[in-house]
Amino acid sequence: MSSADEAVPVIATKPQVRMQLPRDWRSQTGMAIVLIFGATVMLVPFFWMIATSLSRKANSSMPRVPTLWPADPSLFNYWVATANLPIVKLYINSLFIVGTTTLGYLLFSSIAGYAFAKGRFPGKTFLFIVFLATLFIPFETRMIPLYLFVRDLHLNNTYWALILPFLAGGFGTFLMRQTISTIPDDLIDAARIDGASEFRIFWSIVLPLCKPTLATLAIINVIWRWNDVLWPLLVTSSRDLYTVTQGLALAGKSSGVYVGVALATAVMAILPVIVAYLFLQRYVIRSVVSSGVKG
Amino acid sequence: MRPLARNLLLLSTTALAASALGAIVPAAAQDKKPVTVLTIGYPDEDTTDAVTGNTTPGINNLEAAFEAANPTIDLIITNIPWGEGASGYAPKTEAMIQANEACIYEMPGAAGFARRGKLANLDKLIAADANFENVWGAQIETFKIWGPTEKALYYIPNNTGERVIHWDAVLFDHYGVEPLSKNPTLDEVATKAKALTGTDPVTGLQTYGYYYQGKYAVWQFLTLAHAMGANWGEVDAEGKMHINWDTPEYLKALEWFVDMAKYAPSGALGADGMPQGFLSDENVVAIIPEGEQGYFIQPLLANPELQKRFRSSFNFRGADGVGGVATISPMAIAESCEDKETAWTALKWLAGSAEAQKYYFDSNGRLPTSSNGAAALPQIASFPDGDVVLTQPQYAEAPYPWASDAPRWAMQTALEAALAGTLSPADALKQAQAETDAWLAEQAAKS
Amino acid sequence: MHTESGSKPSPVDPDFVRSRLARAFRGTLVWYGFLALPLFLIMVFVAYPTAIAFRDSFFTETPQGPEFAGLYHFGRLFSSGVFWGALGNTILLGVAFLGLTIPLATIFASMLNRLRRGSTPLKVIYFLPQLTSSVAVAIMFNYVFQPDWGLLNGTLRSLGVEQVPLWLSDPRLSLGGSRAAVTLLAVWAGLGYFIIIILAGLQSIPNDLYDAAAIDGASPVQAWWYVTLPSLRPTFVFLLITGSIDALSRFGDLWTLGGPGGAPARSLQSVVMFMFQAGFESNDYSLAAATAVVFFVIVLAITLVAFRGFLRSEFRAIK
Repeated sequence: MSSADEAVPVIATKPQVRMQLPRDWRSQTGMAIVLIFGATVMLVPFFWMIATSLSRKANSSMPRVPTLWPADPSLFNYWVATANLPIVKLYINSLFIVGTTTLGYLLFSSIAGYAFAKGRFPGKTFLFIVFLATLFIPFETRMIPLYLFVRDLHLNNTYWALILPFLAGGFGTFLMRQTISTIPDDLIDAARIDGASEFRIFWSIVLPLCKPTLATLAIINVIWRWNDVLWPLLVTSSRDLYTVTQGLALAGKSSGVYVGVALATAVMAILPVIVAYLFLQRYVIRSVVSSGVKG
Repeated sequence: MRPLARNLLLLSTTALAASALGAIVPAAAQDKKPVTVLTIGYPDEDTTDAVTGNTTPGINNLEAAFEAANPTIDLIITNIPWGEGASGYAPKTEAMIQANEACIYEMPGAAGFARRGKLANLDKLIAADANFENVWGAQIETFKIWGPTEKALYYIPNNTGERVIHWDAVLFDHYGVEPLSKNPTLDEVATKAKALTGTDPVTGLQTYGYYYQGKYAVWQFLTLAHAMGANWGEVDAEGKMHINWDTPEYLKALEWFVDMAKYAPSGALGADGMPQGFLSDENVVAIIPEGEQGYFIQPLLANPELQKRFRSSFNFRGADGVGGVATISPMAIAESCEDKETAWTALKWLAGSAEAQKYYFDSNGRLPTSSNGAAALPQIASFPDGDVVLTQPQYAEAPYPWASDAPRWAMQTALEAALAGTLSPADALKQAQAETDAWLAEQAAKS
Repeated sequence: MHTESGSKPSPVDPDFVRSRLARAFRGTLVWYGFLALPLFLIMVFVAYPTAIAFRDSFFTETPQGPEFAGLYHFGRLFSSGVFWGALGNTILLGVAFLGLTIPLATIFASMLNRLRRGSTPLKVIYFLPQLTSSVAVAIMFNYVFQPDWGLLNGTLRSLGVEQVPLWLSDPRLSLGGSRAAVTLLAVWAGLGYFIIIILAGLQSIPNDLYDAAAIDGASPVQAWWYVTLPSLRPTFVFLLITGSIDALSRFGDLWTLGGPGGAPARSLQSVVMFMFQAGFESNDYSLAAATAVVFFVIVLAITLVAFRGFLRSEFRAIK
């Protein structure tokens, strides 16, 4: 008996594990229960929102006992919400603004990051400190003067007002400098000796090596810009320029009493983002972890 | 990846350039005279009502009607939403005035702009206008306000709102309470609201006698206080504002309000609209002194059955015979407007024509200010309380010149504290007074 | 390489010196060229408005132009009860949020870390509110907290609670008041981020520390208390600092729920909202600018104290 056990320890234990509950099944089950309860608390408001958005009656009287499925499911609220808010146009605006700011931010962050990581020129340390100092200036501090400035340039109510102030920043430059610093100098020197211009080195050698950081920076910036509502509310008043989040904020104010319509608008504003997140969740979570920046 | 990135970059630069061009090069010039207008709170496009499902006409309808009637003028409307703070109409108006972005303004804060010399004196335009016909009657005199040096006509209201007192005839019936009179007194409302709070003897549901919209409590409170003889103050001959909140009349009114708030649903302090169930069979609030035209007129028109249940009485009146917050919508011409004559022609139409009055009603349920307007709305006259609904605006108080300035927020915040019980009514008024005084002093120092 | 060094010209060759200088000059210029546009954008859209905010805080706008006012606006700010109320609120909400979220997130992250199956979908769910804009969250929670028919009170009532809280309609400092409501909202929305960051911290703890604890006979809970928590110190410090700065700049959700005045009764007014109200409702740009400067100083102080006091030693410890 004992000798047989010793002879085939691996073969003998494997099926045993499969047959029996793991040693720590109690703690595993306990943890699973707690975590699933927590996840339910996270999800219930979303389900309640969707259920309420499907109830036409919610606009005049809400049930006193909340339900996760409406008694009168209909798409009426979505019909009203789409009739009252040009949601497709808002999405196009958001995509355009988020797209251009993100591309610009990536380009300017990496080109400045490259200069600070690999360049040799007088005043480098001073200029880098200038860039870093912007990290310590909260947007709130400069928001009102920035608003007055943009207004004086007559840029309010244009896409420019939503794009220009967000093209360059200390955070992206800092992150890109850190990444580019890790690229061996030999690689760059070799290209220089081959006669490549600095821009060519930057574009064809440095940038491709920074793909993971660029992806991180892109995701963080997309989340920032997509959810920004204060600045768009300040500088644009024409509905042709509204972003999705801005349209939602304004619709929420005007349809506040019509619970069903307000929530249908909210669902339309967040659902595509959530679907995109579910597909990209691995990258999104990794970006947040690696940069430590909140979405 | 690389070609893709390059293409994307190219695409975005092109798009940037395109949008820049769009922003810089104006639309093809037209031979019509352009007049730019800022309007507030109309639907941008045809929209759908969240309760009735009916279509509400967008602001383009007003533009089209205007240009049909005035073929030589190109009306360019910027329509912005209401709203508070940075995104609200107030800073937007300020920004547009500073940047000369419009000639005609729908302007709730007209009094302040007139004082600062930003508005054109309409008396002068009227004097120069041989064809002027006054369709607003004698009330045009009450619109006169202080400019930088003199009292004059700086705006004409293009439409008006109202606050009537709603009461639910079915709940009154269930409790066997006498219907509310057409001109209820504070005592009558207090007694009946108390009687109507409790468990409905027929349905067994919890009902409430009273209601207020917490987020806009300041307006109801000022009406109550006015009915009790309070007076907020005045703008003196130098255009300086004097405001007195800390008076015995206001204290009495606030004590009454705080007491009545006990008979309102518990969420009222956070409410920015009508109670849930209003205008439906599930209504549980018996007296609602917040009857804003925008909430009830269209649904009552769409569903005449409701007219029997949801009744309207006149708002509380003071010894001067008026009562209820004035919600006229002043329309003014900027002093910086280059072509004031054309703007004046446009303003006369926007504030006086029957077509415009009909549009304001169809879009937002706003009521006419001109004498020719009421005839455009025969459907309201047929309400059981049609006369109340149509004539309440004529009994409104004179507009408050501080209605969109700091004193409003000082009072609103103090009221919230008093209604929630975190400040005594006396302390709340002291707080409102202190904050208002500080603001007034700062305004005086600046000018 | 070999041919390069072979053909290397003599250092005294004047042609070589000239070309080297030219190349060095060109080489320097290239870097300035790279930095020109980003630097320009930062100067125009970051540095300039910041300088203006500082300047405005020392001046009063009059019809005759700006007038030097010294520290007058700071005096007004510091003697304003509303400002101190807003600052107190902001700190209170920040402390409540961090005090609840960090322990909760630590427990959840530790469980997720030890769970053998299903941790990925759970992580995704916990992180979900982070991806939802604060406006949408506020619209949703405005209804969740509605006292008469909201999700939360409805659930409480069906669980047999008779005296339900008033949440956003109650400005009192209580467990069922407006500040409690927005704290619940913030914990719901922010928990996922904290969990993800703490999970990353957990995964970087070397296994031999646990092995050593196991040899010493520590139970899993003891190991968690004596090994895991101390090892998470840098993560906690990081979360506390970024969390404090985020909490100080809180705006979007409070503004959507309480308007610029932080209704009811300013119980939800934050420093940034105070600045907004001063700037855009009272047309008092000087007071708003003074608030902006004070806000900047507080954020800078937190960052510097944190850097000097903790971060440097922490980061040295990791490396």
